[in-house]
Amino acid sequence: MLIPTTILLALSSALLPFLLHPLNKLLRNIILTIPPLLALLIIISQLNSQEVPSYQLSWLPSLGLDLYFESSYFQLLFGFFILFIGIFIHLFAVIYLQNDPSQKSWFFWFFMFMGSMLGLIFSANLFLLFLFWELTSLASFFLIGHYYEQEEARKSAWEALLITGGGGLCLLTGFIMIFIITGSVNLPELQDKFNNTSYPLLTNIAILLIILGIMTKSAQYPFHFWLPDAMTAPAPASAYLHSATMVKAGVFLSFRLSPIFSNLYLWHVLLVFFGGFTFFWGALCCLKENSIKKALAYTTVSTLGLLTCLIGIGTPEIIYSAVLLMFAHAIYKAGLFLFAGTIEFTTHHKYLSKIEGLWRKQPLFFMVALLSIYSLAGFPYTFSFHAKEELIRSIYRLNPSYIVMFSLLLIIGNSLIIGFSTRLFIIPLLRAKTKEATFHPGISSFLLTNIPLFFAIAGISIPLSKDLTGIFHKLSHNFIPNIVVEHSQNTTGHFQHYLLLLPSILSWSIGIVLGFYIIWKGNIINEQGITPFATRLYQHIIQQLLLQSDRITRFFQNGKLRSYLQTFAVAVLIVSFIAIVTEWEIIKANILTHIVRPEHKITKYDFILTSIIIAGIFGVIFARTKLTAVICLGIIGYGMAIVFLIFSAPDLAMTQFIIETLTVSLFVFVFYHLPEQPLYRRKTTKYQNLFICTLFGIVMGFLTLSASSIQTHPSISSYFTTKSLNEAHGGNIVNVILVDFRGFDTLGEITVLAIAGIGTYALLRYQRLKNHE
Amino acid sequence: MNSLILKTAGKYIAPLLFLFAIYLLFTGHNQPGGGFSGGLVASASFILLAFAYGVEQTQKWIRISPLYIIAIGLLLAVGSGVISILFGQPFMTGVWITLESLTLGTPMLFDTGVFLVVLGTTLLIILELIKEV
Amino acid sequence: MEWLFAILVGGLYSAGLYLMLQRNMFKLVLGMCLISHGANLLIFTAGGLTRNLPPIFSEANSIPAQMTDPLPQAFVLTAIVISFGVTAFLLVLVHRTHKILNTDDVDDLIKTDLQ
Repeated sequence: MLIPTTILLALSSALLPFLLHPLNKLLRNIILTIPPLLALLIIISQLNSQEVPSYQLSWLPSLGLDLYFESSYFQLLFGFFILFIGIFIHLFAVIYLQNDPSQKSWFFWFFMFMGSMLGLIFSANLFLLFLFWELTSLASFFLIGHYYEQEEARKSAWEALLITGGGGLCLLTGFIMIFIITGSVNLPELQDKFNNTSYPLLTNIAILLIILGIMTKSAQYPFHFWLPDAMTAPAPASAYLHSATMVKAGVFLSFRLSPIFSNLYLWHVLLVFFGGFTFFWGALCCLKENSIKKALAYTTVSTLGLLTCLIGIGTPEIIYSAVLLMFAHAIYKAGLFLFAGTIEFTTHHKYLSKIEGLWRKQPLFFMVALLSIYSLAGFPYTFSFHAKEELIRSIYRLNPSYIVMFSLLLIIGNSLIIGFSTRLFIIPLLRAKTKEATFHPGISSFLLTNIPLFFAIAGISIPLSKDLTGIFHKLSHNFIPNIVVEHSQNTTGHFQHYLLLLPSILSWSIGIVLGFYIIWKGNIINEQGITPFATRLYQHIIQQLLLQSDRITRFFQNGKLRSYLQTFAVAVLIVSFIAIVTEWEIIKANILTHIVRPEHKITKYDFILTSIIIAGIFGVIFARTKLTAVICLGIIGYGMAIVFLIFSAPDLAMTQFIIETLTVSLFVFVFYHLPEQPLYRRKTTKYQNLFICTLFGIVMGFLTLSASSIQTHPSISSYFTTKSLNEAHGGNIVNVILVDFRGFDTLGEITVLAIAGIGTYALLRYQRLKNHE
Repeated sequence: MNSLILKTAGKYIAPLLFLFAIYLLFTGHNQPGGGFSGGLVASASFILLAFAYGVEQTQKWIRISPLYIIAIGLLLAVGSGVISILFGQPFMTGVWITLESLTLGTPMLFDTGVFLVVLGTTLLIILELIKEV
Repeated sequence: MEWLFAILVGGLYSAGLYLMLQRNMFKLVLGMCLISHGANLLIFTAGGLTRNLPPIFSEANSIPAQMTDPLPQAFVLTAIVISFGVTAFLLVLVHRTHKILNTDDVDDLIKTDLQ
């Protein structure tokens, strides 16, 4: 129960800005932090408990829809980070957006995001997880498009929504396939139920789709481009959603699923391949990018790639180190983005080359940059260094050929990032080439400097404290159940320590040289930023989609109702014709035996009834006045009611009688008040229509005959018949089916009815109001 | 339609029709009837009144707008499904209590919801239509 | 018995479609009504036709071995009510169009799109 409470608490903050409207703005925004703080306290209190508490509420178990949360230590820790980082970023945003007129909607979506991210973390049901997954995408859409007056912001918001939303749909399809394969989408049950032998093809397709979902959300190549473009968002959103938390959702999902898919080849190959390439590609792109935030986004892409790749490798030690890396990244990257945001806020420049001489103007702020970049580069004694050390140690436990491969990848990727860090550090902060330094001393606010500073210090101080490292060591038990983790002092000898440091030292030296080389050359960097190939491809696809759908729409929607109906009828004819031809043998045999069955005798009354109805049909067609047509319609309807009555359906007969009466009176009522116009036949394509209609009638009649004679599956009605009296306490089975067995269906149907009613009402009411004016 | 015969007949027949509708609703679980036909008969009783006495007067007798009837009906139908959740069972599982010879359950509540939605929709459409033309 | 109703269903469908393909709007509504009757009868017939055995009983031991299938009946029941709702909506729509455009020709509606 405590876990859903934390989610609700975070979500409740979203509503607070509207409820606390009369309060002072600053006070109101500070009050918003109280619910997340409470949630944070709950999570901290849970961190020390030994068992894994879960909360389950069945909703529609037959469809796998349960409200199901669980909270392992890892999930709690992630939740802790989401709330903790979120609260600080919120405080930053309070200052950052203090003059923003639409800040209420910002806070709404910010806390909506926080709540749904928590929900995503804790949900143990895949469909529930999908719900929160899409909610985070939605929140991200609104936060990216916060400055919606700017076209660029709108564009990138759409881009992010289309990419992550499309990935979300793939994910849902994958989940549904998993549900088909295993009959369950509850993660704890899946672990036991999942075996890949029963549906190998379906399993692989499901994995492919799920990985597509993960890749779009976590910005893996070739879907990476939405993340740098999303940097049009205000800095707090970039810091929170697009580096620390939301983009980790994909990685988090692969953490959760990796034990289930661990023996599937495709899972590992795809993750390692795409993750590894993204790691390299993101690092390469950040070197060439000039806008600070975009470049930082590319380093995020790169780190996400590394994490995905590591999960793909999938040994417990490596996954543990990936988790460490993820947390380390969350901390220092949040700080870096806030730092970039503050620079943008105060100098109104977003390009790296335009900002110079920071250390003279703002020494404290210079410290922030120093520490954050130090973490980004992963220099000794930072949290990220600690995580990478753990990573290298676990890579050394792999096969020798893998060791070489992954170490090389790590060295190349890291040195590119360190090259970028060097550039980031030197150009805007140290170099003071021009006399007029563009940095205005405008950081008046305490929070604007100190919150980035806090994150920067946190990135360095965590490994220094025994208590804090203890928290993360406890985490290792979550991933490595059997092996006791060896601490660095246990690993024997100096030589091994030296080997551990080797990749790091290599990448440091290469990276720093690279960084200076780029600064010296200068012309590698594109002043206006880069447009990756994937972005152009995306734009082309979107453009073509719009164009082609417009063309298709124009072709099919020519505005003539008759041609729609004709198309529809012809399509039905073709499909039925194919079905009849392919199944002809079965149909023939069944229909022949069926027609001659003795118990279905036709009495003369049946003939009379049928002839009356058919006469009614002809009457409707050939009627010269509307009233005649309506009367004939009534004859058909009452005839139908008598059919129902004869063939043991009293409920239907009763309903049909009343409905027919109402319908006829409705018709008469409408026609009565309209000027009588003869129902003359205008010249239409008569023979063509006649031909289609006759064929349509024959096919439908044939369908009726075959549907009533062929039984491919045993009827499910015996279930209803046997349970009706004993379990549903009802003697009228039709009614019991409607209100009990298939009540959910009926709920939908009465909703449709209500909508039809309200639609009619609106149509009439609107016009009347208009006439009054 | 200002007809004395219709007015006099409507005065006696309409209440009887409505009573019959209620009867259909409650007997529907064991005999022919139920929310759908009950709701239709009930609306027929009001429509009879509307024909005889006019829409304004009928709406005064009904007191609440058909829109609210629809809303209450849908709410009842959904609410009857939620009750089972409170008992720890999946959404829309039937919950029954037995009082001596009488058995009451959430499906009956659901049926009442159906009754109200059908009644409300039919009334809404027809009354508005009469007003319109 | 079924073949007689099959003819009826075929007649309802073809007449319904024929009416809907006319240019008169009121015929469109009439056609819709016929097609919904046809669909109801199709489902009802497909479930099997049985005389004098309504799916209603008061005691558990009185359930006959062979009886009418209640499921198609439940489907048709809701279908009847919903088709009423749809018909009413359609009628109002036609009435409204007639009042505004003063025409009952379906083809005249194209002009409203172009404006």
